Formats: sequence, C-alpha cells, structure tokens
Amino acid sequence: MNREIIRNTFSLMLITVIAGVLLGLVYEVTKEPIAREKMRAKEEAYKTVFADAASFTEMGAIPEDTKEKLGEQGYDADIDEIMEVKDSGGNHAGYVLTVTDHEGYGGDIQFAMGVKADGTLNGISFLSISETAGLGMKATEDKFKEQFAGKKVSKFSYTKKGASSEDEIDALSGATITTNAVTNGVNAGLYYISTLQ
Amino acid sequence: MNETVKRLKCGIVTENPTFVQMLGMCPTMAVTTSAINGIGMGLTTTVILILSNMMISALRKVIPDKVRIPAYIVIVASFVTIVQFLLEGFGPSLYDSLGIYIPLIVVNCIILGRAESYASKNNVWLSMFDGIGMGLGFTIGLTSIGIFRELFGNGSIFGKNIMPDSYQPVSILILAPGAFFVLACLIAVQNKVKLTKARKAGEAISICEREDGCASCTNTLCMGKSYTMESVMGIKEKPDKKMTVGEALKEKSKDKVKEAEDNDREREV
Amino acid sequence: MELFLIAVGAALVNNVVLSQFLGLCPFIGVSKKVDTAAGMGGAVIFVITIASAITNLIYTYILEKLDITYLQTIVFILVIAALVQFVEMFLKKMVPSLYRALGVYLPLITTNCAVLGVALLNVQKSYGFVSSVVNGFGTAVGFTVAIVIIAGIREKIEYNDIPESFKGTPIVLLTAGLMAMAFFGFSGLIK
Repeated sequence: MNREIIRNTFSLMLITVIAGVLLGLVYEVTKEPIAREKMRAKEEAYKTVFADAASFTEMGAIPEDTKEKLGEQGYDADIDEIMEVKDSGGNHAGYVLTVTDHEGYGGDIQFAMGVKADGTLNGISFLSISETAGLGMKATEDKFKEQFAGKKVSKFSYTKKGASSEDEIDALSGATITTNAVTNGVNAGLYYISTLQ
Repeated sequence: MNETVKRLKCGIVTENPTFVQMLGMCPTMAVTTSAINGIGMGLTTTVILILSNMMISALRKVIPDKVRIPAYIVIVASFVTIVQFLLEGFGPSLYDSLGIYIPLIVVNCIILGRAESYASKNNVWLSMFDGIGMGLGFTIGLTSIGIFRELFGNGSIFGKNIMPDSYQPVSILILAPGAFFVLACLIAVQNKVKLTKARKAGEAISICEREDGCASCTNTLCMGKSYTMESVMGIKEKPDKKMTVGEALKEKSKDKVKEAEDNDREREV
Repeated sequence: MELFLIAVGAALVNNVVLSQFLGLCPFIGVSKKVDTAAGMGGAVIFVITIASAITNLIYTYILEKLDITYLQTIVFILVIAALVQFVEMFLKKMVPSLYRALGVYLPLITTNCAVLGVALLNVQKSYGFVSSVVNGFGTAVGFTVAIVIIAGIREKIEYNDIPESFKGTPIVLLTAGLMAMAFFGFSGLIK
C-alpha cells in the first residue's frame, strides 16, 4: 500500500515537473514573439491614429493618481501609455495614448487614440475588444470610429436619435453599453491630455 | 477498411462530437457567434486533442491507473498553455476573440473523454488519427453552427456581407439566447432523424451512450473516481422494450441519478 | 458598494450559465428536480467561493512572486481538483450533515468549467483578495439562481404535451434560451 502511494505520488510529480519545465521553455521561446507582436500591433495602431507622425517619444510614467482623477470625472478607465508625437521637422505635433476603459459589455476595451497639438482628435483604433459579435463589435467598423475623427471637442456624448452637433456620436443600435464605454474612454483620454497643458 | 481511415470517419461522421455525441457544449455555444471563431476554436481544440492523445497514448503504460485522471489533466493543461502562447504570439486576433475559452479547453470533455476512452487503450499512431478525426469533426460542427448563426444573425459569412441590404438580421441568434435556441433545434432535428429511422426499421431504438453530452461532460473528468463512459451515462444495456427517444431519455436520467448514488456508495475514502 | 456591484454583476448581469455559457453541463444534467438543483447550487457556492479565495492567494503570493504566472491554467486546475477532494474528505469527517446534503455533487464540480472560469476571470480582471471572493460568491449564486429556476420550470413542463423530438434536452435548452432573454433585463442594472 505504502509503496503504491509513493509510486503514484512520484510518477504524478514527475509528470508535473516535466510539464512545468517544458512550459517554462516554451514560455521563454515565445516571450519574444508575443512582445514583438504586441509592439507591432500598438505601433500600427499609433500610425493609424496619427498618420503624419514622424516619430513617437516616450513621455515617462503615467502619474499614480490618474485613475483616481479620471474616476472623479466619472470615467472608469486607465491611461496605459502616452507618447509625444513629433512631425518631420521635429516639432511637437500632438500625442498618442493607449486607453483601457473598464465599462465594456464583454470586459475591458483597449484602444489607441491620437490627439493633435491643438486638441483635435485624430482618430481611434482598437487594440483589444471583446464585445458581442454583430452588436458591440460594430464599434470596430470605420463607420463608428470615423465619428470621432477630426473633431475638436472637450467631451463627446452619444445619442440614439441621430447626431446633430459636433460633439455627438450616433450610438450603435443595441449596444449602448459599448458606445458608452468607448465614448467615456475617449473622453478620459481627452481629459488626461487637457491636464497636461 | 483500414483502421486509420476508420478512425477519421468515426470522428467526422459516425461519432461526430458535436452532432452525435453532443460533447463540449460550453465552447460550442460560447464561441460560435461567427464562423471564423468557430473554425478557430475548432482547430485550436484539434491541435490540442492530437497532441494530448499522442502523449497520453505514449505514456499509457507508465501512468499508474489510480492517478491517471490528474496526470491527464496536467498533460492537457500543459498543451493548452503551450498553444495559448503560440496563439498569443502568432495569431493575436484569434487569441483576442476566443479569450478565456482557450484556457477552458482544459475542461473540455472531448479531450478528457478521448483520453479516457481511446488514447489510454490504443497505440500512438491510431490515437493520433483518433485525435485528428474527432478534432475535425468538432471543427466542422463548430464552423457550421457558426456559419448558421452569423449568416442569419448578422447577414454575413466569415465577415463578408452576403445577404441583400434589405435583410434585417435576426440579432438574437448571435446573442446568448440564440445559442440555446440553435442548439435546441439541432438536437430536436437529431432526435427526429433517429426516431424516423427507428420506426422504419421497426426495432427498439438504441440510445447512444454519450448522447446527453453535458451530463457525460460533467463526469468524464471526475478526478480519478471510478467513472467510465458507460457507468456515467447510466445505460449499459440497450433498452429491451420499444421506446421513444423522449421516454428513453427519461429512463436514462432516472438511471443516472441512481448511478450517481451507487457510485457515491462505492467510492472509497 | 463596489463589492456589492461586483456581486450583483456576477450573479445577475453576467450570469455564468445564461450569458457566459460556463457550467452548462451540470445546468442541464442536474436540473431535473428543484431539490437536487438546490443541492448542486449549494455545493457550487461552497466550492467556488473557497476556490476563488485560494487561487487568488496562490496567484498573488506564489505565481506572481516567482514570476511564473504563465503556469496559472495548470496550477489552477490542479488546485481546484485537489480542493474538491479535500473539501469532500473534510466534510465527511467534520460536518457529516452537510456532507450528506452536498456529497453527491462534490465530485461533479471539478469538471464544472465555471470554477476554473471564475478563477481565471478573477486574474484577468486583476481583482484583489476580497473582490475575488465576492466575485466568486456572486457568480456561484448566479449559477444557483439559474439552476433552481430551470429545475422549477422542468418540474412543470414534465406534464406538458411537448412535440416528441423536443422532449428531453431540446426543451430544456429552449427554456434556458428564454431565461437568458429574461436575464437581459438585468443588463441595465449596472452601468
């Protein structure tokens, strides 16, 4: 009986250890491509939201109390990263940032947004979104995203009755929660930039 | 017929995990909102199924019988994690859309079910083909449900709009309730086919032992307890009198409760 | 307040079974009678709450400390499996009355993908210890609510005249679909 227990324990342990070591190896091997892929996706998104940017420079860490400050404004969002954009002449042209909004229907929505130096929103591009297919996922279609582009407003709002003014966004039908999350995320980003000046 | 070809045919047609065995219903319902998700989930599961089948078959003489289920779980979980890394690095969009359902492949009953009922008893070569067959069968099932739901729920297939503009998509189909409805109709059609066949042949209908997929799903994985596919499903012998599927199902679920109690009594501490 | 929102969100708005399709197997397999359904629900609440607490501790104090978070799937499933066994043995020795009530259902729970699902979601949403436990508890309560309701309905439709090919699982799934629609009503509850 005892010998059997030892044998069972030992073989199970052996399998687990081998599996663990193997996983460690695979993790090491795939770490690089995963990081590179994430980098690539982000860079691509930055290029999309700021087509005429010549270079992006790091701006240092986001202050710790940012989430709190955004919370005071009623946004449940995080600013993950911000980079300064320079044009080909090396002048300040605006910012690109990565925002995660926590109010999505299917979890967090992460997107990149580009804002010109004069405060005009250049565009948004989704990095990670898992909303309901056919409803919330329609947010990734150009028709929705383009509503944000090229507008210089301090705060967007959404409407179900057809946008009538510059700062209004047509809500996705059947996906108000997604619309709300994206709009709030964009507003959080705009608010954060306004605190920089 | 050649045994390898037979394994493939068995997985894709005669014992198709989605349409015949009704296994792995959780991912089936959750990810089939679009055809591309269906095919992605199906292929991911196929890869894991092939790898775990081969590994378990190769180790079948080494793994002690009493700890075989935990050992299988470790093996399956490792492959799932490996595939997860690979997807994250090389197929990020698929990785995003399948989300939490990738790690949950670990508890997919198809994989442990095949490990227990096939791979642990057969050689590596056949187990591999069993994995390929079952995996492809699952992929076909998921993809066709995905196509159906996407076509009528969103008016597109593989992301391309093909329905005329005047078509108003039945959005409910791609939402959660739609999954239940589609699956319900699928099983009903299957019942109908079986019923008609049985009537024609004029014989008692034989119940597929793994028909009620979800219940078998609950049990195949039950941690080294002495459940086997047969004992789990409750019906060991074919019902002797003629009965409809509905009656047989009722009969079976009665047996199942009894079986669970019996097993409970038999189990050692 | 925030914890309350997490609990309500997990139980009603994002109901595990009806909107996330986790734990479907016992939902269909063990929902024949209200009594058994309630028993299963109780066992699930018990196990998921403890599992959320333990997986959270393991994740924060072992996996993160050692920088091996990539092992989470394999560690969680083993921990859950061991936990269920342990809970079973513990109850049998210490609280036999509770064991008699939940015993049959305990072994079935390991395979309930809701348990692993909750553990993984807790990590994904980077919940702290308390939020994890509350989220786990809420999720399990949601499961119990769903399975008890459907068991109640099943007891009633037993006597109805259902088309032959819809008897059994199909009618249960249809009912579940209608319940899922009803649960959509909760989605406005929390922003």
